[in-house]
Amino acid sequence: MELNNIPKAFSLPLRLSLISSLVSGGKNFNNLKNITKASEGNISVQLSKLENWGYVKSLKSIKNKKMNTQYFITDHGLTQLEEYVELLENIIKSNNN
Amino acid sequence: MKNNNDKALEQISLIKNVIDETKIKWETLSNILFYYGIMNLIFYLIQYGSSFFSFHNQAFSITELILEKAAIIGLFIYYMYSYRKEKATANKYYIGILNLCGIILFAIPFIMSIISIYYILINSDNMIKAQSYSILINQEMTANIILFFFCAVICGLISQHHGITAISVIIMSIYLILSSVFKDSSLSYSLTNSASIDFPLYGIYYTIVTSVGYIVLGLTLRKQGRSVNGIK
Repeated sequence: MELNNIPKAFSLPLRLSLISSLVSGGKNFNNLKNITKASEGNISVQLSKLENWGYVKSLKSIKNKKMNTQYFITDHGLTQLEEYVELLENIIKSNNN
Repeated sequence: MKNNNDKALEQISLIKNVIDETKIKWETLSNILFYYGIMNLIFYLIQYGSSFFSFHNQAFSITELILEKAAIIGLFIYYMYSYRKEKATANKYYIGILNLCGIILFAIPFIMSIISIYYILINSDNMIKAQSYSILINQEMTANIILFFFCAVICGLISQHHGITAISVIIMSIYLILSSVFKDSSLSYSLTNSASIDFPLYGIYYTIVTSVGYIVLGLTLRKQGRSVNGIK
């Protein structure tokens, strides 16, 4: 990953928060809302974009007669996040040298 | 205008904070439950062993009691050390779970021990003392099973492992049946032609739950935590 081709998935703090919060395991919409403190509409839009770009996947199930959607980070999403963190570390290192 | 370095630091900080906020450090919790189970298992084996080989005397009882309390204090020190180490970095939910675990494993049994000592001390009559002691032992056993049940339910909820919650309900129900309906059922072991020792069924069940139960709970939580945190 280069500084001039950072994926759109990392261009907004909310997208970055959503991806980071899924690193430790799957979360449902309410969990993500509590973590990011963003509005439902905004989270919904960003999750759908991240899903289309292959960073996040969702699994629907029925829990207590209600539809429950659980979101997970994909292998691609995890690899991209690791590369992005590596890029950020390199920027900090090069600026400190 | 922010330079790339500031932006990079900001982004790293955001990623780190979110991961810290959401990650559960299962290792400490599973270790405490596992060691607690091992500690109980060792002391039960000593107690049962001493009954079989008839070397149960006052000096042995006092030594065993001192060793048991020392082991609990040792485990409590490990708990406090882990708690202080993780308090700075762990999220509030995880700290809440660790607090609950501390209350269940250390605070409540400690309060119950104090109550037991108080009841025994205030009764001067030896007969009443023995009766009080017997009632207190039964109450303590029930309380410990309930505490195991709560501990297992909490672990089931945080790990989203519904099997743990379901099994803990079954364990609790079996104990209630054994301690009420089959209260007088026991396994008998003949020491000599005239002497034998009886082990109440609910007592055997209690020792298995509070030793093997905690060990299995600790191992399940460790396995679950490793899969959630991506460690194989």
